[in-house]
This record gives sequence, structure tokens and C-alpha cells, in this order.
Amino acid sequence: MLTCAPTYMYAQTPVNQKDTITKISEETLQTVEISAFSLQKYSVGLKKIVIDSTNLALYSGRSVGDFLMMQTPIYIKEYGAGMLASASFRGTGAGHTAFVWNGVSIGSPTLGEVDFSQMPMFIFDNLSVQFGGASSLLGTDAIGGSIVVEGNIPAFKSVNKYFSPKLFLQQKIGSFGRNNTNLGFTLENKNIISQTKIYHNTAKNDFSIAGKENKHAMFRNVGFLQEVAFKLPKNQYILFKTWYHNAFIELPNQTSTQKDQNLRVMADYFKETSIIVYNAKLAYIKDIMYFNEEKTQTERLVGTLGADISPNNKLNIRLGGNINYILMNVDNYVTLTNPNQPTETRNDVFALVRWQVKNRLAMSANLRQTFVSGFRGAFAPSFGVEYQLKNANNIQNNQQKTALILLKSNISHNYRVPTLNSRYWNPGGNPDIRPESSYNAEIGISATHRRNNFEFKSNLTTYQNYVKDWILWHPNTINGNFWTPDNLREVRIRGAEIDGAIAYKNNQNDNQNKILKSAKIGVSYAYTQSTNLKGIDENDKSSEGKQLPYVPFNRITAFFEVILGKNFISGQMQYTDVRFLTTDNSEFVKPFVVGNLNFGRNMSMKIQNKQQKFNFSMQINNIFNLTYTNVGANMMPPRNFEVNLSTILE
Amino acid sequence: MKKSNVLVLLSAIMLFFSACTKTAEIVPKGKYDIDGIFIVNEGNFSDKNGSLSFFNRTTDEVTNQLVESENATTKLGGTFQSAKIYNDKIYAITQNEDKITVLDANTLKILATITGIINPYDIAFFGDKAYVTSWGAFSPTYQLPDASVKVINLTTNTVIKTIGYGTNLLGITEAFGKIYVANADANQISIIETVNDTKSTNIPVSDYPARFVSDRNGKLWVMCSGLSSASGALQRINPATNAIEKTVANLTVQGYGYEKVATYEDKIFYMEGKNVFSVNIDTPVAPTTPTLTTTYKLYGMGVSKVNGDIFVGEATFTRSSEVAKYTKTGTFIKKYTAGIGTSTFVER
Repeated sequence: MLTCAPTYMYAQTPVNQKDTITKISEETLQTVEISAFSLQKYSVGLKKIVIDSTNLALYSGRSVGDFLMMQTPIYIKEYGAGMLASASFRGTGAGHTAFVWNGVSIGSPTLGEVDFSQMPMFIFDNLSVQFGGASSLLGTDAIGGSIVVEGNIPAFKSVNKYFSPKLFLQQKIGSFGRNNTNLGFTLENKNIISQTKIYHNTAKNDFSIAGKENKHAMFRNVGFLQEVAFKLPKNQYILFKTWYHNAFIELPNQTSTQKDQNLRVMADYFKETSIIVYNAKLAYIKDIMYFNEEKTQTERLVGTLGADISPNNKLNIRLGGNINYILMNVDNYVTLTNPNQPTETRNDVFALVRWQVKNRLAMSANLRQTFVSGFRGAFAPSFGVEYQLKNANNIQNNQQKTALILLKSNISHNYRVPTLNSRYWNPGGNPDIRPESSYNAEIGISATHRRNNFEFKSNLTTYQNYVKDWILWHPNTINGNFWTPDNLREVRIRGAEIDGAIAYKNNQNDNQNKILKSAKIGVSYAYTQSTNLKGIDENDKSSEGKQLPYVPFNRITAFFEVILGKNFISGQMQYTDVRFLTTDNSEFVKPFVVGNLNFGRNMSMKIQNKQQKFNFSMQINNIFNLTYTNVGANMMPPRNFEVNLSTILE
Repeated sequence: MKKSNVLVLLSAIMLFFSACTKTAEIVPKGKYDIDGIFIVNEGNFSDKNGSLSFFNRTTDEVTNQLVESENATTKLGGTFQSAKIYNDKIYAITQNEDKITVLDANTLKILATITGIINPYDIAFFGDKAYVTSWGAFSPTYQLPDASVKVINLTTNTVIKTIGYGTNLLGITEAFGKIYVANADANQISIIETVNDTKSTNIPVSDYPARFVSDRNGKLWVMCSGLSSASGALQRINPATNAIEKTVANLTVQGYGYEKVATYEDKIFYMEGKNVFSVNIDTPVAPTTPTLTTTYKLYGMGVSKVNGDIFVGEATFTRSSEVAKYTKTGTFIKKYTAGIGTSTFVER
């Protein structure tokens, strides 16, 4: 079971992270928490990264896309700073990364992809990156990998604290009209925990490179998240979440504009008994997008019922199902002869099992079947195994030594339900389209060594993914000037990921200024070969055996972080290899390097007998001032600066 | 040997060399001053990868990415809507870049760029002036309130006048000293007087006029793509009288971008789907059988002025287009690889 997480995690900055950790351990002793209803325990054998609070704090004011690009092997195809950002995760396409918010996939059902520029890091308490296919756990789109974001599991205090309010304020100002304002507010007592987050992010992006001005490239997004958790009698809990997001985006160097309005509302109910946790979830998601004045709207009603059964400490079983009812309002989905907007139902049933065979051996077998109105759904099984090759833990003369070596493997079949556009768009929509299908296998080894103040971690993973029935839009050759989607592409992806990190942590609880508190350095490298196996027609033979467009062969990310007394400094760097523009690899965009540097100081001040925390920092983005483009000729910002001031008031 | 003999010999040698220099003067003015056809590759809208290729008739080969290879750090950009040759210069219109690149037609070196025109589409020439159809900026409801014809001074390469229309303007051409503008949304040809660059009469035509070609008799043909299937039309206009002399109606033309048109001898060629059709310029009737049929959908078409060879370009924007050469009667000769989204073929 997952341990409780602090409800005020958003307030963390590199320095006070340690304070928070201390706090958690003090408070866990006296908190009542819901047993986690997490899917993590069933993802045996898959690689995953849980993003720590330091990183969540560092990127507050930025999007999930910015974070993934700088710190993970995922390639983000970004059309400009703050502009449309789609992912290529392990060599797959934009629709092959699921984005799961508290158990509900929130990618656009019309386009079938996630715009990572519209996912502000600030509002997510917990973010994890799940590598590889995971449809058995997460449903559609989890083909290359998944981003899983979850609110904190509420940890109710056993002592009534009279709502103990906590306020977090953050203001960032930067070059080219960047302005980020974040506000967080928590209230909690024995039975209620409330968390409010409000954000406003904007930038003009009016930079110039070599005399050429980046025009009409402003963006602004504003939104809020309200979460309330109630502890009810008889081990029952109910959580309400509302997230509203509103964005305005100018398409760079064009005249078009885009407006997004997203409303996500959820009620999440849990009941705990000694061996079963019951969960019922009801969500309503409304997505409206205006491209210029052209409106696309969908509404989704999602209901999930599940039971997490733990008959003994070796077995976990999760059974359940969900319904997903979609209402559409898209002009191009209707015709004069058929004026009714379509509706679609997507239902799933699933059974997940984790078996801790021995202390060192764990296995999982997960099954999911989906049913979609109008065609046969897909079946997604997965099997995983993890074996601890070495697990040593010695304490001698007050010196701790641990070594853990873990072998992991997972195989799965995954799917992607066709987008609403590919089924209903008029003209061109293809009612006979089938789900995309992927067979994924991976094997990995991870090693962790701890010795006194040092920790060394490293991972090596290799995988293969065979994707077929990949949907492509192509010019209709029969009647008329429009494009139509078909299950045409077949791709074999092979890749390897390797990463390593060394961390030093001073365990002396010394608040002296000049002491080295912690230092970390890490690097990751990913090689991705995503090969198009089948030309879509006679002439497309020139694309066979070629790398897919916008999938870089090589990506490197690296970071360091040093905390010295109250001061901190950190840096991140990424390298992205050539991206081909064309399926025959006849044209490409050059590789690029981006490096960022962040430094600052944490301060605290006694106000009304309470120690209040302040954080002042500066960030330099694209510190090497390199001129680059990510997508085509879309300009990216030169070196630029940000100043950040934040505070936590209790 | 006498000195004078040496001098005679020397002068003979010099004469020989000066004769050589004379011969050198008829050597091509540049790499591209040779028998061939320029190929316009429109490029993909989001990648802005329009490019210029060249078909060398002597070697029977196509070379690609020529603006980039002749001008080190420059990319032509996209979308490459139109290229026309005038006074040994190529005027390359890249719509997304709001730019017209002026290239030396013999060397393909960039001579100038004409800026300040939003969404330019096509160009026509008369005297020392050029006329460019410009969409202007889109309104939020996709209207084109600023659509206009920009008059350009070709000496300074600057805009000297804006003739406003406010409706979607496509192809533009010169005939009989007048400028003919395909005013697509208004279903008419708008005429501009070159004497004072003012609007003259409008000729009502079929739905959605898009592109022009002049036949060997000096008659002007307009390709109208129509607003629904099988409503396209080819119309013959007499530029002396502005009368519509012939109409071939109910043609299937696949809408915006696909309304390519070309001429050779007594025929007008157009394309539909995988087919190229032709009509006779004197007795035009809607054709029932195509001149040629390819295995793929077409986006580009052109016919050589020299020998009537028909060139077609494959409709693909995600990789290099195939270009194929056929005889004027539709017999396949050879295929080549060009750039992304091959659209038109331009010959001196």
C-alpha cells in the first residue's frame, strides 16, 4: 500500500524538501489514511518513474510537456514555446501516450491526443511516467507509455486541528512577457481536507532571432482545481475534484487562434473493509475547443466500479469495470441528410492480479476487455514478473550498506480506440475503422546501492513494440478532394534506455548555512528505432524500412542539483537527435540542445510566532543561447530569464 | 625566325584565344540555363518545406532542393504556391512566409525578396510591374476581408499599390495588356487595367474560378473547380472582347488545390483523381476517357511547351512525391522523385 503523501506538497522547493520529509514522518504516525487504490502495484515488470516534489516545484509555471522534454526520454513535438505539444513516447505517435488524471483518461477524444502544453505542472500533486504498453491497466492509448497524475491520498489527522489553513503563493516573471502566478490554499481538520489551486500562466513570446521576429505567438491559460475529501463513518471516504482550465493560444506567425475550455469534475468514493477496498467513481468531462471560430465540443460521462481485494499479504486482486458515454457537438460530424450528432459508448471490464510468489519474486496478470459501440472492442492482457537478484541490507558500525538488484519483464497487448474524428468526420470519416493494436515486450534491470551518505541508482531497459493497424489519414483516391483514415501503418519499434544517478545526502540535521546538504547528478540516454514496415501503396515503398517522422533516434537528458545551506542550484540539459519530416526520410530538422540553470535561496522568517518560509530563485533557460527549432521552421526562444518568489504561510 | 613572324604568330594565337572568348559568351549563363523544366513542390503546411526541383531534359534527371543548394543558409519555406518566370527571373511565392523570393533563373541565386504581402498566392507581369493576388489575414470566421491585388514595381521590388477586393482571389494572368484575376468567391473574373492599375469590368463565370492558361490562339482558359462534385468547368474567354466563347461544364475537379490546367498545341489538359483529361481548344466537349491514368492520386500537372510531354505529380505531403513523364498522347515514359507535394511545372 502506498504511504500517505503530504497534502501541501505543492509548496516544496529544493531546500525545504528535507523539512517536509521530516514533517511527513512525524505526522504519519498520527494520521488515518485511505489504503491506496493505486494501479502501481499491478504494473509488475514495467519501467516507471515517480517524479519527486523537487521537480514538480521546479516546473510549476511550466507545462508537463516542458518537464517531460527536459527530464525524460520522451520526445515532445512542440510547435513553439507554450504551443501545441504532443508526445512521441518510445517511438510511437501522438495518440499513443495516455494521460490519466485520477483514473480517468483525459486526452482529447476528437483528436485522440494529449496537448501537453495545456497540462500545468503546478496542479498535479503526484506525477508518474509509466513506460511501455499498459492498456490492461489504463485502457486506450497506453501504447508507448502513460502519464499518470493523481491527487494526494488524503491523510486525515487524528487530532482535530481547526482547519489549520496553509497558503502558498508564487509569482514568476520572465523574458518575452512570461508571467506565472500560482496560488494554493489548504484547510484540514479531522474529517475534511480541502485543497484549492489557482493558476495563471502567460507569455508573449515576442522574441527575435537573426532579425526575424516571432509574431502572433502569445498564450495565456488560467484555471483552478478544487479538491475536498471527506472522512465518513465506517471507513468510508468521498473525494470531490473540480478542475477548470481555460486557454487562449495564438498560432505563431499565422493569424489563427485557438481557445480551449476544459471542465473536469469527479466524485470518488471509497469504502474499506479488512480485505476489500470498494471504489466508485463518477466523472464528467467537457472539452470545448475553438479553432478560430470553429467549435468542437465533447462531453463525457465516466463511471467506474472497482474492488481491490487482498485476501492475504501475498495476493492483490482488482476487479471492476467502467462506462464511458460520449456526447459530441462537432459541425463536421453531421450532414444535411444526417443531422444528428453521434454518440459513442466505450465500456471496459478488467481483472488485475498481483501475486507476491516469494519475498523476492512478484508476478502480475492483468486482463481488460473493451466494448465500443459500433465495432468489436479490443482485448488487452499483460503479464509481468519481477525478481530481486540481490537484496542485501547491512548495518555495521553505524554504517548502512544496501544493495538491490531487480530484474523485470513484462509482455502485453495494447490498443487504441479510433478517434471520434476518424469515425465521424464528414467527409472522410471511416465507419469501418478498427482499433490500433500493439504487442509490447520489455526486459530491464535496475540496481540501487546505498552506502552511508551516497546512493547510486541505475536502470537498463530494452523493449520491442510491434504496432499494427496504425491509423493514417491519406488522400482519398476514389471520390472527391478529402482525406480519409485507414488502418494502414505497421511499425516495429526497438529501443533501449539507460540511466544512472548518484546522490549525496548529508544526514546531519544541521541548519548551518554553508554545509553541503545534498548533491545529485544524473544522466539518461534513450535509443529509439521506429521502423515503418509497410508502405501504404506502391509508391510508398520508399518509406519502408525507414524511421518514422518526428521520432529521434537518440535522446540524452542530464541534470544536477546541489543544496548548500540555504542556497540551491540545479541544471537540466537535453539533446534531441535529427527528426525526419518525411516518411521516406528525405528531409529532416537538425538536432538541438537546450540547457537550463536554476539557482536561489530559501529563507524563513518568524511572523506572529510562526516560522514562515520564503523562496527566491532565478532561472536561465536556453543558457547556451542556441538557435534551434523543434518542429519544422517554428522558432524557439533564445536565452531567457525568469525570477521566482514564493512563500508558504501557515 | 624573324621577329615579325613571331609577332604574326603571337597575334594569330591571340586571335585564336579571343575567338575562344567569343565562343565562351554563348556558354550558358548559369547552371540552369539549359533545356529543362522547373518543378514547384508546394510542401507540407505545418513543416513549411516547399522546394524547387529541376528536370534536365538532356540528362533526363530531376534534381531537388535547388534554392537550398544554391543559397547556403536559406530555406525556400512554404507553402510554395506558385512560381513564374519573367525576364529571366523566377518569382517564387511562399504563402506562409508572406514572401516572394526573386531568383536568377540561370543560377538560382536569390536576387531579392519581396515582403509585406500577407498570404500571397499567384503572380502576373506586365511591363515593369507585377500583380500579386494576396489573401491578406484571415478573419476569425475564415473570411478574407483584406484580400487584394498588390501591384509591385519590379525595379525596386516594392508594393506600390493595393487594389482591394475582400473576396478569395486565386490565379492571376496577363492577356492583351490587361490583368485577369480569378475572384473565386465571387464567381467572376475581375479585370485590372494596367494603364492606371484600377479595377475594370468583371466577367461572370462558373463557380470557383481558380487558374488560367492561354492557348496558342491567344484565348484565355479558366478552370473553375465548382462547389460540389461534377460542377467544375473549363471556360474559354476572348480577351479582346472579354466574351465567354465556350464552356465545358459538369467536369469533376476535386476542389481547391487540384484545379491544375495546361496547354499544348490544340489541347487543354486538366486533372481529376488519378486521371489527366484533355479537351480540344476549338471544339471543346467534356471528355469521357482520360489521356492517362496513374496508380496514385494527382496533385501536380504540367505539359512541356517544347514537345507536349505530360508531367504529373503525386498527391503526398508526408514524403517525396513521385513525378512521372508521359507522351502527349498518354504513354508512360519515366518516373522521377521530386520534393514534397509537387504541384506545378514551369518552363521558360
